[in-house]
Amino acid sequence: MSRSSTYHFIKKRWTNKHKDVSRRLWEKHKDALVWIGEKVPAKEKLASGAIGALMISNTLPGTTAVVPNIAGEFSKPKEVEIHQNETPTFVSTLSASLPDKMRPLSSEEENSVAKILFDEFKIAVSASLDGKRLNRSYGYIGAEQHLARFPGDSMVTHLGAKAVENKLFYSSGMAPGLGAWRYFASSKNELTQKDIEREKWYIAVPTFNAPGYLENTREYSKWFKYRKMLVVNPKTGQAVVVDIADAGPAEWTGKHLGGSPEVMAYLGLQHGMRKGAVLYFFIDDPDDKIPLGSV
Amino acid sequence: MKKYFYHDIVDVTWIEEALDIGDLSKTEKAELAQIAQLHLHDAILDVILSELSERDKKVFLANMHYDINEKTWKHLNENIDKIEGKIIKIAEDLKTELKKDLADAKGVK
Repeated sequence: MSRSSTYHFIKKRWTNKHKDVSRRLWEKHKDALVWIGEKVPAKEKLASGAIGALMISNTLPGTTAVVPNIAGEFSKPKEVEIHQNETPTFVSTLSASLPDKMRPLSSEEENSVAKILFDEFKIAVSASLDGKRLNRSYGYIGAEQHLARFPGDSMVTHLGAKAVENKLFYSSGMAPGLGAWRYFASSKNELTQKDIEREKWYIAVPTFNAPGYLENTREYSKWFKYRKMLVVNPKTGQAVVVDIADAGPAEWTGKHLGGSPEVMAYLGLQHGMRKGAVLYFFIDDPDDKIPLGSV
Repeated sequence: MKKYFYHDIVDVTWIEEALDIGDLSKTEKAELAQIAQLHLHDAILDVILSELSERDKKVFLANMHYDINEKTWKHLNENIDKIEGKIIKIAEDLKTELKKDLADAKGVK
């Protein structure tokens, strides 16, 4: 056998075999392979990594016509945004557990997400607690205004001289009405550090849409008041421990919950539309040991 | 080809050694070695992905892409029974098959 024919014999046989394996791989696992392709920037795919290998394997001579046109599949890759304090694994694992399009999570998905959040933050969270839950645990959060903490509270008394210099927090302004549980304190003199933190890290959720709320309004209202939740931006991994201090927003707004200016900032959603997809799960903290704020 | 998590347990040095059959140029050997390694890669991926749920497939691919070998192994061991044995078996089966092809090539006139 000539040198050239040995090479062509082996190449043809191995290429055909690889082609079969590659075709089966794509037929059986297309959704997952396309998914990772969309999460990985094109330059990364070409440079290294599993997807790089897959792309190379599908551009070998004689194999291009057999497997799906991967370059076409990945024509518009999206960057996986990674917060500097988070590992890629957490963000990518979380992302893999969420639906591509916004919708309420199933119970199975909520349990899966709760486990991922616990693994990352070491905070026990769940979509339901004490038999109560909200209408959803994954939705769009929008920016809210500051809430008045006591009668006569203003932007200046609210933020203090130093914080007033922060245009973002100052420009959010004060909400025209009170929170769902009215003032946090009866007067400025009675305002405690805990009250200040509760307003600073508050979210508004549609408690009125919670299953069972209308049948047990008083009990549910008491239970939801200042209830702690963990809110996570799944795109970046940024997370903040918050408390429920207002009810809303209305369904027609297209938002499923609202966050104080500080909450939005710590979730990385303070710019542009001031809106984004977040996960929000209850924190089981009966002894009030977990502080409000960023985690 | 880059190093993947499964290279901890799968030896691929045999590929280049097996291709050292005297009448192949350096470039031809390199090209054939690449085809063999990509074949092995896809075969191992298929074995793994076939035993994972849709969600875990994504977790695995993300872990592998980011080269977090420790997490990749942890995730696989938690979700697939005797995964190391399965990877080694597919690699050994492929090794036997490709070596037979090389023997066949020697017999072709």
